[in-house]
Formats: sequence, structure tokens, C-alpha cells
Amino acid sequence: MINAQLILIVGLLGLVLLDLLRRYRNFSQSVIHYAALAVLLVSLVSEILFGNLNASFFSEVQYSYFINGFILFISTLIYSFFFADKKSFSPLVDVLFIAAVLGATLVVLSSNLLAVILSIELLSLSSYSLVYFGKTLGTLEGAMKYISTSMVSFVILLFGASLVYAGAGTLSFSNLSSVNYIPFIAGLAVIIAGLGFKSTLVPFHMWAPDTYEASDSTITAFITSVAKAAGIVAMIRIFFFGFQVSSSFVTAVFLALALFTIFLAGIFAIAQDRIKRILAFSSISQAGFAFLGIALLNLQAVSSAVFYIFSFAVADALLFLSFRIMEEKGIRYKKDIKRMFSVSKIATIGFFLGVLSLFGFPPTIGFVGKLLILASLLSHGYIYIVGAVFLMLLLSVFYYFGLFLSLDFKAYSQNKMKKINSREIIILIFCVSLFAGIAFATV
Amino acid sequence: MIYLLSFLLLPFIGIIALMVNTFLKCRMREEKIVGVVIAGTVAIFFGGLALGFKGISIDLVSKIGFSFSLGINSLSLPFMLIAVIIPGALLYTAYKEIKDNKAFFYILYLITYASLISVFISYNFILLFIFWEAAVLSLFFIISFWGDKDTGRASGMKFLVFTQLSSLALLAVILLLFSYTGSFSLYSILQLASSIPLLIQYVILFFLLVTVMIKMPLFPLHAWMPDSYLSAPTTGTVLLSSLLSKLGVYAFLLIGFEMIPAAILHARIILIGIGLLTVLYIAVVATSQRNLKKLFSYSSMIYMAMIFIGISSLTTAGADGAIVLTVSHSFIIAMLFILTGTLKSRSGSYEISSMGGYGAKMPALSVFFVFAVLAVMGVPGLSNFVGEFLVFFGAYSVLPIALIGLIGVIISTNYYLSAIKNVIFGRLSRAGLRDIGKLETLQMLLLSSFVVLVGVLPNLIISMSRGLI
Repeated sequence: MINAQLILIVGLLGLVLLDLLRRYRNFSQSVIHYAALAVLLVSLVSEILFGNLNASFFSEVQYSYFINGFILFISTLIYSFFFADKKSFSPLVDVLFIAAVLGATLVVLSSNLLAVILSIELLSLSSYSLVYFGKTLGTLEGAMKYISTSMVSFVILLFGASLVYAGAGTLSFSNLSSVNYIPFIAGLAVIIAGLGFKSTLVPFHMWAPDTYEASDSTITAFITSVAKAAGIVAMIRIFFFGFQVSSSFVTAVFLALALFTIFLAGIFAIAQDRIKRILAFSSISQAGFAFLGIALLNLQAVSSAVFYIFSFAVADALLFLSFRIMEEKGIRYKKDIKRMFSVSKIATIGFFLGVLSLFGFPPTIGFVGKLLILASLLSHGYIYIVGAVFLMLLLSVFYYFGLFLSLDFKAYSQNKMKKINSREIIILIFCVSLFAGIAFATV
Repeated sequence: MIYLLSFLLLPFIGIIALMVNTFLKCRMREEKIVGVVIAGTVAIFFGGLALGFKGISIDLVSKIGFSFSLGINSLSLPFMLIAVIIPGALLYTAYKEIKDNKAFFYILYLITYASLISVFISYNFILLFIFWEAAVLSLFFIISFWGDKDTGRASGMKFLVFTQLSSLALLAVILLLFSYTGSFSLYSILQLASSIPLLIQYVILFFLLVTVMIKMPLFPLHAWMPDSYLSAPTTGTVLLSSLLSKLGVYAFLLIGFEMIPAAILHARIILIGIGLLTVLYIAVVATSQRNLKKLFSYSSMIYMAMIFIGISSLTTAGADGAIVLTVSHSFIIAMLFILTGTLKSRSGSYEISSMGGYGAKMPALSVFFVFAVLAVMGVPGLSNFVGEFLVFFGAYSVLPIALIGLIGVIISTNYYLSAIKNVIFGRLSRAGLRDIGKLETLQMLLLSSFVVLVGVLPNLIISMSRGLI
């Protein structure tokens, strides 16, 4: 039976063999890059046509088709951007990238705690190697921070899993029968911490800004969108579909985590002067918004959270990819924004559309995402939480619209339209999906 | 039949034309394109008044009830009248004032124009919110980038933070209405709104008040207003004061008056109290202003507060008065701010002390200035009088003590008259003053003809708001 994951696995092994072959036959590296692109494309198409892996530890749930679809969509676009951007890079990057995508899609499908942990480690292992392979200034620092916190969180996750096993006698999500609650609950609490590292919830976020800033912006686009989405989806899988722990206490803990994440990330973002750090902190606060939806642990809220994850993944990918074009012309600080239009008009427009979507400005998908989350909060009576979220959204006005204030419209009309290159086409595709994505919204 | 979609299509074509004009370096004047678009829209509007409008409804995302539906409700027409005509009259001011980045400015101008009209004809709350936010964002750009060089950006930010709070409160209102009626459509919410529990209606009213009190603005949520009105270019100030503030009125009438009257009925004493407080407080604050633009900014709040009183009295007279006052205030405040902008270009600053004796050198300007100030003071025969009369008539029947609001009107007479005295009369301190040109006279004539028309035949506006339910 053909499915997306099968194609990714076969493609991964095929790429390794192809690279081996290259050493004897001496053909160009770009053959491997094209092959990797083909693997990603074919897996996207087969996901749409044939669905996902459905065997042993992995099974489809109602949202996995949508999430894996957009994960493969975003990854394919980011990979093609990377290819167009870098031209020559080691074939190892292709293998790592596909392994990371495979890991992300498997997280969504896992029906067993062990499978979740293994696939999330496949994703993390590959992504910190990718951070290092970006080879820009300070990548080593970023990669080291990423590796060390990832290792810690991996150990924490394993510890949590062992506690859950001690309590429930099984790691599978489906057959929980007799549960000894003391180790079980402790295990789940530890798992929250472990996954908090992956999905950058405050107070487990400290690695994220440095890593996001240090790595190549294209790779940052990948880890802020796909890798983070996988981390949050793992939360949904474990706490909503797996161990159904819905109680008012869990909701309170989750809401507190989410609000802290949004608030602290917002405060930090206001203080920043470097654009990439602002984006990094804003991407952390987005995780908090998605987590608000998960916190309620009911179907309406979770499906709104799923849509929200989609919306910020697209917007973050768009932002960091457009920023990549800016970055190579030396735009790093807020005051450099006035030169943006002279670098690339399409990338500037993409950048600011991304900012608007992250803020939640209508009619982008970010707006619909926030609308759905707020609607689910309101319809379950969390009116004070909604009030708090509003105040935090006001806070975010400062750092999102502060970026606009440095714009210079003169540069727009003065510079001639250049020929569109392939990187800008990818940015355009993201811009379109920022609006067309509304079609996937459900209540 | 006139399709309502054309109110969106025409500005959209205009925006495309402006973009093509810049990219291909056609060197066509941007003002001409915008002028043609607005003239077309005005023609469509009056055509529609004669022939009737035809709405449209397309389901965009049926799962969340988001449909692209336009239609005329019972309130649309008076609001559309001001939204269609005032930017047209304002265009000449923009032409004289805006010299750099014209293409972008006029794109924003058309976005504001189209979205303001569309707010009043949206039949779906998500659609309404989209247009509402589009208008806010383009005004933010206009204040920040074409406003005062030193204070523009900071004021723009302040404006945005406050209006985002009001937009978020509106979003909360929309979501609450949605979660209790299951629809975003104006029509079905109107049908089902009375079944919402009273407690929830109070919550809705609270959020609605945040929206309205920031947007209009009312004391104590008016902190953004003086800075933004002062720092914005004259075009921006007029758009803010005569149109954007009316979004608050529209929201209060549509959601408050039509959908949750039960909550307002219980709270109307407090609401009228808020309005009276604003009237009295602002009358005192405005008296101490030495800056002409700030004076008119503050004094415009008095009329917004009267509109608020009229609506919250929940009487037919009060609501009619509020609508008449809305229309008349838009025209008058546009005249006042345009004239203030002209005065600033002559004397170099907004300070009243730098002006004086302009009556001798600039007769035409002085005539219109005196006319506008008399109109805003509420001289019978001009439009504000009718509105004020009806508002206080309505408020009196609910709460007789509301008449103390008239003290505010009396105080305001004092500073209006002293403004006339200091600007028009007095000693001439400056040479080389030029009177307003022909086109500016035409612009003023257009605006003042509506002031007289509404003053003499207020029934036109009142019947407009009832005729087509």
C-alpha cells in the first residue's frame, strides 16, 4: 500500500545509495538535490491521494490527514527555497531534511507513547544537524544549545514515559485498563515538561531564540514551522486522543502555561532590536496561542488549535524565508527595514503579510485561527481568559506594528521591478496560501 | 437595480489603475484616477437611491459561517451618504496637501474609502470586521507616514493600540453573538438576539461599550484622540473625525440599539450619565485650548457624546436625532478641519495667537468659517440644531436631568465665539495672505449645501434610515 511515509523512507534510503553511487560515477551533486525534491513532491502527492501510514504503532486520526498535508507542503516549499538559495551543499543535508520531515509526519500518526518519542527524536536529531549545516556565523553555538536542551528533554520524556508505563502497564494509547494513578499522573506531568521543550513553551523556551537566530534563516523557517508544529501536535495526540486526562485542573495548568508563554515572549519581543530575534520571540508566543486551544481538551478547541498550528506554520515559514532574502543584503536591525523595498519588493510584501497574519489581522489565516480559538474559549465560558488574551494581543501590537513604522514607501516607487526569481515565486506561493488557507477552517 | 458589489469593484479597479500607473510610469495624475473612481461611486450611490440596491451573498467558508454577503439594512443609507460624499470633497485637500509617495497614499485612500462604505453594507459580521480593520490599518499608515514629521509615528502607534483594543472588543461582541445564536449573519442574529440570556447581553454591552467609547471617542477612553487628530495630515484628521468615528456610532446602533435593546434599557441611565459627563468635561477642557485644531478635536467629542446619549435613551426621537447628528456632524467637522488646515498653511501654525484679522484679507474663507462654526453651535435652520434638539428631546423623556447637557452646549458657544473673534476679527498681524481658490470654494459650497439641506429637510435623513427594512 503506497503512502507518504513509505515514499519518504524509500526515498531516504535511495538518496543514501545514490550518494554512494556518486562517489564511483562522479555525477553532479545537484542530481541528488533534484532527487530529494522529487521524493518530497511525490510524498506530498501520495499523501493527498493515498493518505498516511496505518500500521502497528502508527494510525490515522481525524486531523492527521490535514496536518501531514500541510507539513509536507511547507517542507517541500522550504526545501526548494533552500535549494534555490544555496546551489551547492552537501547531500547529507538532503538526507537529514527528509529524515526530519519523516519524523514530523510520524509524530502526527503515532498511537503509542514510544512511537511519539522515537519519531520526535528522529525529527530533533535531524534538525539540529541541519542547524549546524547551515554554516553561518554562530551556528555552532545555536546547534549546541539545541542539542543539549534536546537531549535533556529527551531524557525527561523517557523518564515520563517510564512513569506512565509503571502506572498504566502499557504505552499504547488505545488499551488503558487499570491505571495506578500516582506514577501515571507524575509521568504525564513530566511529559508536559519534555514536550514543552520541543514546542517552546515558557519556561522551557530558553534555547529557542538563540537557536533560531544562529541558524540559517531557511532552516529556522523549518524548525519554527514544521518542527514546532510536530511538538504541539504530539501534545494533542497524547493529552487529547491518548490519555484522556481532561479535568479542570489540567485545563488550568495548560492555560497558565499558554498565557505565560504569550505574555513573556511578548515582553521579550518588545525589547529586541534585531529583526530575527523579534521573529523568534513572536514565534514562541504563537506556540502559546495554539496551546490555548489545546488547553480546553475538547473537540472544538482542539480542531481550532490544529487550524491555528497550520496558520502560524505557514506565516512563520513565509516570514523567515522572506527575511532570508533581506538578510543577505545586510538587513538585520529595525532601522534597516527602510531599505527593504530596494532589496526585493515581493519579499518585503511577503514579510509584512506574514507579520499581519501572525498578529491576526483579517482576512488572513492567522485571523481565522485566532477567531476559532477565541470562539471555543468563549463558548466554554472562559471569558476572563479571553480578556487576558486581548491584553496580550494589544502587547503584540507594539512589536508587530513597530516593524511597519520603519518602512520607507519612497523606496517602493523609486526602484524598478526586477525580474522575479525562483525564491520569490516560493514566497508568492506562501502569500497566496496565507489567504487561501481559510478554506480549511472548521468549527 | 444597482449592485452593491460595485461599491467594492470600482475602488478596486482604481487601486489596480494606481498600481499600473506607478509600475509603467504612465505619469497620469493619481488624483484624477481617484477622482474618477469617487465620482463613479457617487453616481452609483444616487442611482441606487433612485432605483434600489441589489445585494449579493456567496458562501466562502460555510463551515465557519463566513459568507461574502452585502445588503442594505435599515441603518445603511445615512451612513453610506457620508462615507460616499465626504472623501470626494476631501480629495482637493489631499491634492494640495500630499506631495510625496502619492501612489501609496491614494491606494490607502481608496482602501479606506471602499472599506468604510463596505462596513455599512456588510451583512456578515466577519466581513464587517475585515473592512473595519482595513480602514483602521490604512488610517494608521496615513497618520504615521504622512502626518507630522516629529510626532506622527508615535501618534500612529498610540492610535493603533487604542483602536486595536476597540476592534478586539468588537471581535468579542461578534464571537459572543455567534456562540449564542450560531451565526455570523446580521439577519439571523437580529432574529435570534432577543433569546440571548440577559447576563450575556450585559457582557456583550460591556465589550460593545469599549468598542464604541474608543471609536467615537468618549471620556475616559479618548486619550488617543488629541494626539492623532493633531499629528495626522488634514486629510487624515477629516477621515478620522468625520468617518472613522462614525463606525462606533454604527456599531452602537446596529448591535446595541437593534440587537440587545434589553440590556441597554436597564443600563440607559448609566449610559446617558457617561454621555453627559463627556459633554460637560470636554466643554471645560476645550475652553482651555489655545490650538485651533485641538479645540475642534475636543469639541467634536461633545457631539459624539450627544449621539451616544441619543442612542442610549432608546427612544425613537433620540435615535433619529443621533442619526441626523451623525450625518450633520460629519459634514460640519469636515468643513472645520479643512478650513483649519488652510489657516495653518497661511499662518504656519495651529496656534490661535498666531492668527487674527483674517476677515479683511480672506473674505470667502471667513464666510465659510463663520458658517461652519455657527452650524456646529447649533443655530436653527442648520443641521446640527435638528440633531441636538431631537437628542435632548429623547433624553428628556427618559431622564429629565439630561438637560444639564445643554450647559455644555452653552460653554461651547463661548469658545466658538472667541475662536471667531480671534481668527476672523482682531488685528491683522501678517502680510501676504491669499484667500481660498475657486475649487476650495466649490468644496466648501458642496459641504455647506448638505449642512443646509439636512437642516431644512431633516426628514430626508430620517426616512432614509427607515424606508428600507
